[in-house]
Amino acid sequence: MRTQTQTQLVNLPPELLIYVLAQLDLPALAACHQVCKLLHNTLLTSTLLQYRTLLLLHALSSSSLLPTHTLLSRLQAHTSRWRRLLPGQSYTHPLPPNTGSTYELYGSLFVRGLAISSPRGTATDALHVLQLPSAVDERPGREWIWRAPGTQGWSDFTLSPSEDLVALVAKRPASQSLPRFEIHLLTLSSGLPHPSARSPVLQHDCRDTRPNPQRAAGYSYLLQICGSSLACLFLPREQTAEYVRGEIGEELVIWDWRTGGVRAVYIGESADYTRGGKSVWADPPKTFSFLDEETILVAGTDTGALEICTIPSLPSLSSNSSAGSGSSPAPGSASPPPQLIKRVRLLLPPLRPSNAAILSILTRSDPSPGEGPFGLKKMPEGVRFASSSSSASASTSASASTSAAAHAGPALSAAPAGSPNEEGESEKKAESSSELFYPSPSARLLTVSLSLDSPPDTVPDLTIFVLFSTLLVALHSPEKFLPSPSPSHKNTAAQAYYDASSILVLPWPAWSAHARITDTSHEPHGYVCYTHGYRYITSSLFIPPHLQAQAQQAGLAGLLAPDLLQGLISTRVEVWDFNPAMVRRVRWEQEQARGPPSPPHADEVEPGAEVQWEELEQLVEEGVEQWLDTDEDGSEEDDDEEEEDADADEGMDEGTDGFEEDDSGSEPPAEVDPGAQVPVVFGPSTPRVPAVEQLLVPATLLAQDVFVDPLQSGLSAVVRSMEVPGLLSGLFIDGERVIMLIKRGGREMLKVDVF
Amino acid sequence: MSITLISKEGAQFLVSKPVADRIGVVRDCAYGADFWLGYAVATDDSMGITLANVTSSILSKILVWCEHYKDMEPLVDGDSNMEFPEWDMAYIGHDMNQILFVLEAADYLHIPGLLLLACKGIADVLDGRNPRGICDLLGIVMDFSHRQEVDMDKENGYWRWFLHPT
Repeated sequence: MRTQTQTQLVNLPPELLIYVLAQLDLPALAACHQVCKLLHNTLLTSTLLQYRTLLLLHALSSSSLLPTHTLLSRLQAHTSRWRRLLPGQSYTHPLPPNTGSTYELYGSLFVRGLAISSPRGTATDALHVLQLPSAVDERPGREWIWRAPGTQGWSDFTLSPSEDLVALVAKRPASQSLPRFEIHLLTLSSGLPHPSARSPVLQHDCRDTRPNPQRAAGYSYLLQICGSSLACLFLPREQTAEYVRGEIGEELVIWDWRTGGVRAVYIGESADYTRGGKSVWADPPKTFSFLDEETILVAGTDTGALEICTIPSLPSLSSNSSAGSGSSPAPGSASPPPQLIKRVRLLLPPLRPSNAAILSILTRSDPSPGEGPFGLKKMPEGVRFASSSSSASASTSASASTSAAAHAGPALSAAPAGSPNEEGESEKKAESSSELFYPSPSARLLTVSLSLDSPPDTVPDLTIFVLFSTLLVALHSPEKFLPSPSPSHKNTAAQAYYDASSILVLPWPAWSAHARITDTSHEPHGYVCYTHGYRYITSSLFIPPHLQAQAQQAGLAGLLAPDLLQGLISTRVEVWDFNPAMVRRVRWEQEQARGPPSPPHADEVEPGAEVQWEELEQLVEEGVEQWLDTDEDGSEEDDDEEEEDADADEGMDEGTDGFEEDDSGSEPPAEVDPGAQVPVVFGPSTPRVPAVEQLLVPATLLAQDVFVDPLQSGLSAVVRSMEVPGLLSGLFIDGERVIMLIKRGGREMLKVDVF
Repeated sequence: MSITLISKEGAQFLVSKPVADRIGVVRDCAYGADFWLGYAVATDDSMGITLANVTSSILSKILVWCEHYKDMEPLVDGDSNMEFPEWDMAYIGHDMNQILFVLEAADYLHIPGLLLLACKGIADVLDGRNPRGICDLLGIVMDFSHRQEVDMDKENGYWRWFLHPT
């Protein structure tokens, strides 16, 4: 019946052909390049297609409406900066004192809990929000104090900038002995109850079977928001007697925060054994991560497995109309809360039971998979700090920084004066300030950090990396992991199987080819935003070779004098990129260069780093002299630092200033009074050499009396490293920047490299 | 209320307003003529819009889609990892020629949702094929030798390494 002539893909009008090609994925685009000249040239010459390809290669998404050629040039510059680890900007920023231990880094917001009422940092009742400047879209930085009217302080918080949501676990009054928790849902822009939440407070009663509860049990929390799901894991202190007796325990609660309904409660396996006459839940959850809005991964320490579970959807809104319908601890009094449906169990490497056990486990992946582009639509004005480019002269940057500091001073010290609401309304400019590029929803790396109870000098810590794509394939296409039904090879210990409750069980060998395991942990300890998209950041300490003689003279080899050590030591910051396309590319490039594959992760000396070290050496010497000359300053800070550490930080102080190099000539660090408000320093970006790319090839971890077998793991990554003088007390990564937390004389500073 | 659409061959299709509203050019034509407002005296068979570039078979296929989406909004923008409903994927099928006809017609008729679906269909057909496979599928001669190209920067040359066996 068809009378039309044969249509061909290549005969389409060019604009239609481009539109078709723009919908293809990366393998299809790569294939089309080699099909014919027309397709090849179209792909090469079309700005839209170049842009789409580059987005796909770097696993990024964008919802920007800027012209395509603008986006393309920015994306090219951005990805090239990341690849060479050469920041477009580099600056330091002071942090206010009295920050608590809670913090989040999310969509270019660095948010720390702040104790305004109590200077010792015991009760968090405000947030210090730092919107970091962007090099990609030249967005300026801002900072402001976020306060929630009507809340009494909180124990922990999380936020979802794309939902304009802050979730706070309210501090329980000391008189309240029962573990009843309230999670407040507020907006980030105003601090008022979130308009999309049917009820502004989610309530939950954790089970507590203590016969005579007289005092409140101590809890810590893990929180994550994914779209309209909010999960909170309530973790009681493990050393207490009531925990050991099983009277209180871990509970993971997943809400739909918009409706307030409880989607699931998980407290571990059902009570299948008893301890001291009380039923105890086996393998209680110790950590979790959303894989998507319907899927969550939970893990405990008892069995050593990652469990991928489906979250049941709320049956109907009417049945859960009363918001905060917390799960009832007493079974039978109400309908039991819905349970997670376990689907896949990934077993961690088997440990020798007599020698080792898992002490703690933590899974991390950032940003949350539901997190879209981060848009600041009606944010408070805060204090702007202009992101001067590297071409700005030293004088302008200095004046800009002093004015910013002048603004920052009162805002930080007398924060209650400026209500966020008024500031929010004062923002007239409808500034399009959403992130230009953000990781694609599926481009996530899961890090599993384990600490082991193992013999000394073996393996205290383990870190396992696995991609979300692997986990989701195991969930949705289990046949890819199941052995072929041929009866020829029967190695059941290493093969995937279904257990009695039809959970797909993957022993470690069945998924180790898609995972990476190392016996190092994230350094420095204590902060967790070390993963973003496919990237992971860690660091190691070293003494530059030419300083080693000096170090030995100073007796460093034996008993360490911490202050001198800080001056001599450097930190190597490593960015591990697990993007499969990038791994392919580096492998291909190395093969083309016909060189042998680079040794896995050797401590190589970068060419060109010598200059830095010579500078460093000088600066260290100067720094030690200055430290000896000057009185100790910064001691008026009410910090928890020991005196020795404060002194030691002086030595590092000089090294760090030297790292910002150009400015150190014009404004010597001695002029800056460290006790005063430290100005924002916008130095020109430090001239560095491009990072050398090393490929982490599949490797084997020796058994070392801890594991049953040597551990093979097959996931590759590209490692790029840069070296910074001194010690870091925190290290974070997000889509655009590497953020280093530095302690200087008791005052905390951020050193931010923007890519 | 309904309207008559006339295909290239002259076949007439009587469709209701919500269905016809999915077709951009028909909506524009009809509104331009104040058709739905009743100024033009329109009876069911007196008013027709001729779609001279669309064959009967393709028009009838497109009307199936319009009928399905008369009450709901189709996806109109997205990127390569978006998921279409099952019905859409079954509708568009794997017949490359037919998808291309639908694509051209959707472009001509201004139906963005269907245009995107056709692109997704093509992407699905091409998925997992190597260059030789695509040539065979499209019936075109492989006229490209990548050795000719020398001055490519690395980002643009990604196709060299992306399909490289590892």
